[in-house]
Amino acid sequence: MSKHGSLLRRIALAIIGYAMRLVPPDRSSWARGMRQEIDYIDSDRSAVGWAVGCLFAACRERVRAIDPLRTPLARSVLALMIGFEAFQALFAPMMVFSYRLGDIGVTRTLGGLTPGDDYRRFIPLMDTANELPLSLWSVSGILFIAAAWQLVRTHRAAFGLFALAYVLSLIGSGVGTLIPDYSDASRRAFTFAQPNFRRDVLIPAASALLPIVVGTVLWWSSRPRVPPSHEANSDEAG
Amino acid sequence: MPRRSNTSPQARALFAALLEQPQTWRHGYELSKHTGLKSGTLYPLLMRLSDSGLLECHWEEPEKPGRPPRHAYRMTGTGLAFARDTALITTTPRPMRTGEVPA
Repeated sequence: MSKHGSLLRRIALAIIGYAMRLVPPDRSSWARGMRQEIDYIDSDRSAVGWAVGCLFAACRERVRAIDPLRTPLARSVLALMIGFEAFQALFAPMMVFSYRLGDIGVTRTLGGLTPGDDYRRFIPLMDTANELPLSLWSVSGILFIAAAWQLVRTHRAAFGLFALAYVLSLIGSGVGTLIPDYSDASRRAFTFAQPNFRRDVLIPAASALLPIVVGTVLWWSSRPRVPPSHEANSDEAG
Repeated sequence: MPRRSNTSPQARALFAALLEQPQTWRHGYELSKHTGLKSGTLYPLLMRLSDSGLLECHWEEPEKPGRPPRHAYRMTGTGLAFARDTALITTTPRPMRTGEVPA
């Protein structure tokens, strides 16, 4: 083994020292294990290669240990985003049912939130809307709310509920496009004389991206956390 | 339909190395040289196996004075059964399709 003073050996020790600081506390025993191996590697060049690999391993463990939903604030923000998804899923059923039940005040209010600000251009759409997609969107909206509730209560079931809700909402949209009258009315309702970047590009892109971002964060946080290491004996090295 | 292992080639290489001497405690650098796995691949794999209860580890006192203690690893009983099962699945030949010529 080369002397500890050689430049490459010192570089290897510096890298592995950084790797040791990087690993999460519950992996410190592993980090020490990686560090000690350096002293059993004869070649300085191999020691540097070993240390670089250990740095990658440490980064990997550090990233795996990140839980973006650890704080109540982060969970609340994500729950709000899921709430927005629920509102989006329930929007069409609420509008159609209020229109069909003759509660025009609710229909008018909801119509005011749409591009064009007028519920009347949705009348052909609401007349042709089928119960199947409306039911799917309703169930989807309820599941989104359940997912948000589970998230606030820190239950890991939030991801499963969210994924199910998202899939149901996509199926509802898919079913809607298969109904010719509804599909035509929908196309007419969302065709505008003047192009508008915010309405035509920005909002649809954000609407498509939001569930993907929320789903990814939920999935990441729902992964099982690292359990304590299985040490055969407790005599830890110093 | 034959069962196919979803274990990565790196994990299979590690299992093979650990199965060669199942009762012997092995060290990280030795396993790395034996399997050809870099430390950046080997250690996350060892950690996952340990988390799943397939691998046990302990600190080994140095044979020569002046050297630091080493972290050593070997498969648990469950790990050995799993590794043998994985090796068995991996080596199970794929059934020939009708008209297929053997290589």
